[in-house]
Amino acid sequence: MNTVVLPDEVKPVMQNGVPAIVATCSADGIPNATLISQVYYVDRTHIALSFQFFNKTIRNVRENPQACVALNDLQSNTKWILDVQYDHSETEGPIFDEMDMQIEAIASATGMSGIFKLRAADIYRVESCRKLGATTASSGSS
Amino acid sequence: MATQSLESLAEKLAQKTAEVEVLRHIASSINSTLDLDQIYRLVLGTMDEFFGFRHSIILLLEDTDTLRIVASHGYEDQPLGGTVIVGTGVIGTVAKRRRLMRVHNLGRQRAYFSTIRTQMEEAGRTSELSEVGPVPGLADPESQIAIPLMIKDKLIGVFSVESREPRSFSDDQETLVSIVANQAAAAIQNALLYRAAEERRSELAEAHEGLRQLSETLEHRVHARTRELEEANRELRETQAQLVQSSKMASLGMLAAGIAHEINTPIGAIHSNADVERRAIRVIRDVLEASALAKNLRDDPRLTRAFRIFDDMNRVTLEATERVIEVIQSLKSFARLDAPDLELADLHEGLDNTLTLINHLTKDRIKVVKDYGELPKVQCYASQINQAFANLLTNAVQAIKETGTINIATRQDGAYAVIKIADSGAGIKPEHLDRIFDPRFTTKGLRVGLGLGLSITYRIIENHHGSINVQSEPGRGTIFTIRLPISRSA
Amino acid sequence: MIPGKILAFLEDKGTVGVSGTRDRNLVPHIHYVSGWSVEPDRRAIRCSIAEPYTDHLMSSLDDNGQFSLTIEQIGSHETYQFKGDYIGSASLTDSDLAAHERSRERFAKVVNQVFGFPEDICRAYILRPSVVVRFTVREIFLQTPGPGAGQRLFPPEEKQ
Repeated sequence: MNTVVLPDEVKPVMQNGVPAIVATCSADGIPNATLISQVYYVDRTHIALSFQFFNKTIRNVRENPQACVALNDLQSNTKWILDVQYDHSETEGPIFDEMDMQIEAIASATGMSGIFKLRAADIYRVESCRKLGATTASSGSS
Repeated sequence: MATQSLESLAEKLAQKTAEVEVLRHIASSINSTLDLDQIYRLVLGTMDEFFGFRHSIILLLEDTDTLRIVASHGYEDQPLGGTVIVGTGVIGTVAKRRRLMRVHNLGRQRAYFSTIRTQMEEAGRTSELSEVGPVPGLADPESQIAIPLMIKDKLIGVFSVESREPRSFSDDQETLVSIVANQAAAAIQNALLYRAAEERRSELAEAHEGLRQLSETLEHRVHARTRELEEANRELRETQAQLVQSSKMASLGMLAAGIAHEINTPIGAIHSNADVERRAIRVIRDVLEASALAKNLRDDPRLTRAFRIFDDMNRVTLEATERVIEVIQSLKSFARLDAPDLELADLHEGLDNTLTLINHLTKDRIKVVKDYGELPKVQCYASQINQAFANLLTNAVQAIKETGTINIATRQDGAYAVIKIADSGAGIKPEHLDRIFDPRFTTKGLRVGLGLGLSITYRIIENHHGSINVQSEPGRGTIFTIRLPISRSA
Repeated sequence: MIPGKILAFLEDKGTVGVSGTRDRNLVPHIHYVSGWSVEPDRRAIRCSIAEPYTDHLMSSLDDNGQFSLTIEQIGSHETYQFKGDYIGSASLTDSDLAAHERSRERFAKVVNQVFGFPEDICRAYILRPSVVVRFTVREIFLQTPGPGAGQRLFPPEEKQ
């Protein structure tokens, strides 16, 4: 099991509001790539994705915990590729509360309180982290 | 490199020191005032001046589900008075969860959710959507920090700062906002409590004044009511006395009628017999005078004396029976038992009948002088008027201790009959004059019926739309003057 | 065959594309797409990928041939995912470059509008491709966030 420490510079990229990409693979080997609105920074070795609807991504990681996350930093023209492993789901606690609160705030402001409800915060362990720029490529430290 | 690091550290230290100083200044300033508006200005103004938070709002919890904006800074159209429903939007969610929230890229997040909303509307799933009301604050915020204002576990409001920049607020800024919000919460709570205490004090003072005025009003009312009750009581007693008196008079009248009837017959017989006896004696005298045989008898002194005794006795008997007959007539006339209620009555006859009835009180002691003028008959309740005369004449008699005079004068004065009854009795003290018609007033002790006579007289005259007044001087006697309308239509 | 509406979307509306593969260990990989076009038979799609994003691409495709392509229109969030079987790689043609230019221009304009970034920076974000991947579309899914997300559009889902 490989775990890397996320560089400090990746945290604001997670919060820049540009959609990220998550790729998963089912147990029978079919890849799935989808865009998501937000990746949450948990700590230096973990990220979280919101589980609101039981979609393909959620189903896949429960069959096959391996996933790939791509973060877009338009400002500096870079991308961050994170190889992650689904670790567990949280339905309470500070991470869940923060995600839930944010979803509730925006959903209630747009009249969709009943539609968006956080079922769980899926916690992923970061196994690798590399930065892809126009001219450079660097990786995180283990 | 080391120098640069040191410089950088020194710079950071200086910045932190400045921040701490500002925080200390804020704390000191807002805790030195109990004026809410001043607290708001200090907090919001300082946050902008020193930390660059250009758009900020303070909301207070108005009831369990509404927050109201009480202060704002940096908004073109001040959203004072605007409300946020607890649980709606960033501010409402912070109030509901009672946790700080820092959000970025609000515009993009809102756009994402709005896209989904549009799709749901197009898919006909509008029933699952709720209405979105206007949100106070910036129309297009991108970043926001909202923090609940808490006093222990109690939420009193929310403090919010906004920015149009997507990633305005750092961890440090979040910490600053938290510190200021905590200080502000305590200061606002103190000011609210102070204001509530002042309002309460003012309310109590108003209530106290109200009570004082009410108490005064009540006292007046009680006094007025007491007077009313006393007056009503007096009237009741007068009416009761009058009723009693009328009842008595009615009973007396009936009694008088009964007595008169019973006495009339034997008295009539006695009177008639005495007359017959007188005529019989005359016959005996005539026979003796004409008879030569009775010449010796006529000059017999024993016979002469016997005739004389018989003449005297017979005369007394006739006078006595005539007197009794007269009294009975007066009594019947006084009671007016067989007369209609309202009638044209001869007041002189009433006065004379009354005098007859009290003759036993005036005889040999009090001289009654009558000065009757020309009086037409007066429309009145004769029995009541006679009662009034009786009360006044009885009082006059009782006022004269040894010997004295009662003067009765009558005259017509326009539409009125005027009757004056004057006595040469003890007179009435000046301090009693105002009260003599009061049913409770008496100088005769507590005998039943006494003290009511003049008040009844007053009431009788009043009922006849007349008037009665009194003039008196101690030691010089009393004059009662009655004015009665001759006709009730006068 | 790819339905006409989706064809039109690919041609005129799609602004950003990403692809996914998986290796022999079922580890998924992301490959940014620089451009795409539908082949005349309307069953296969060509998508071009730039060099920095080709890690694990060929090895995964050679291993199992599984490929997914997701195209989104930024702004409306209209999104489709195409899952299919790798046909083979190809050299870059003028047509591929033209497709790349078109999608890059669209991307630059809309990102500038939506996110406010300068167009030239946005344009630089979509790198010139170096390789073309061809795959036959097996399934098309609606990925637009909302009520129908995850619904299979092609072949149509059986009504239950």
